[in-house]
Amino acid sequence: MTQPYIFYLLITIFLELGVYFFLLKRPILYILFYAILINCVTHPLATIFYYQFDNLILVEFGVFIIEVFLIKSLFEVNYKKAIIISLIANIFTTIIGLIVFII
Amino acid sequence: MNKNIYFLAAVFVFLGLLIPIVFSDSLSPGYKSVSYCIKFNNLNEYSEYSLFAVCDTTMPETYVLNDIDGCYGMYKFCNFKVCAIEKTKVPTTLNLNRNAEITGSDLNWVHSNISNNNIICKDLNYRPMTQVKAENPITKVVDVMMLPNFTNSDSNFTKVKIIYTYTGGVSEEIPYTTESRPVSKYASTEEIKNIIISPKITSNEIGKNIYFGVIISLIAIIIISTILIIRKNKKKDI
Repeated sequence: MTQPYIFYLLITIFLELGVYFFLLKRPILYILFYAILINCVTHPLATIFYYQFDNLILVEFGVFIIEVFLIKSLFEVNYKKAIIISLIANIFTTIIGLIVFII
Repeated sequence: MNKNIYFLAAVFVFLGLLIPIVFSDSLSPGYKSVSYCIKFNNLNEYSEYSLFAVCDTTMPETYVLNDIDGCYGMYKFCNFKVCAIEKTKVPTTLNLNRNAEITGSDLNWVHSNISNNNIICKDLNYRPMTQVKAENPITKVVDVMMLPNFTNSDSNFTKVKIIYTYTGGVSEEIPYTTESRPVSKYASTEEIKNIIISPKITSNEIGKNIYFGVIISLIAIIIISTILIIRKNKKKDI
């Protein structure tokens, strides 16, 4: 079960990296480093809560809130930008995640 | 920046709150938990021995087995073994006559003697039953077993009977006729019979994964905290 979990974590990091890069226009390695950190905080917690409570919307909302703070702190952007980035990144990864799950 | 540190502290507290979830039953949807324990019906024949229930996997624990009517269970992921030593070989300084967890120097003594084969251990080889389908009336399961002859290497535990207790307190005792656990007559349909699941397979795998996830999160939070603190100090210096 651990191996598929890492696979999903890596996919999420890769997808969010694309969103961060597109919206922040900063060096890719800088964004990659923080994308890994942010997702290593939120993805495992989201997985735990999804297994416990089986409520994707609630879990994704929690991830969105935590990522707003992490994006704001780590990328040193204002709250408005952090909210937009977190919202787009999480909608994007959720949709891709659902498509991968369905396939 | 202080706000960020407070936020991270809050996340740490939040993770702390997760610990009970990590170590609790990971119930599959549609299932309920039941209490499970093992009774030894010939414990009174071992009055000359000190007996211990030893779990050396997952959540290590060592308990004294000295209550004839006691029903013993360990942390749900642990298939404990029973270990025995003649009471005459136990130093009088050790306090092994209480019905409690063995800790400290007493525990070190027990484990060093298990390693040296002075204490003989026998694996129970049982599968605890801690989850049943929600509509199943079972609330408690007791496996009754017979302790083996510890001096005979070929002697093993004998499964004697299982006692199911149902909602309302009604009990049903069924003797073991094979190694397989007898199925409750109240679980009358094949559907219910077949969905009695082993927690060893379900919870353990999810539990391991959750534990792994919390560790990843904690490491990431520590790195983020360090970065934010370094940044804060740099700004102060400027």
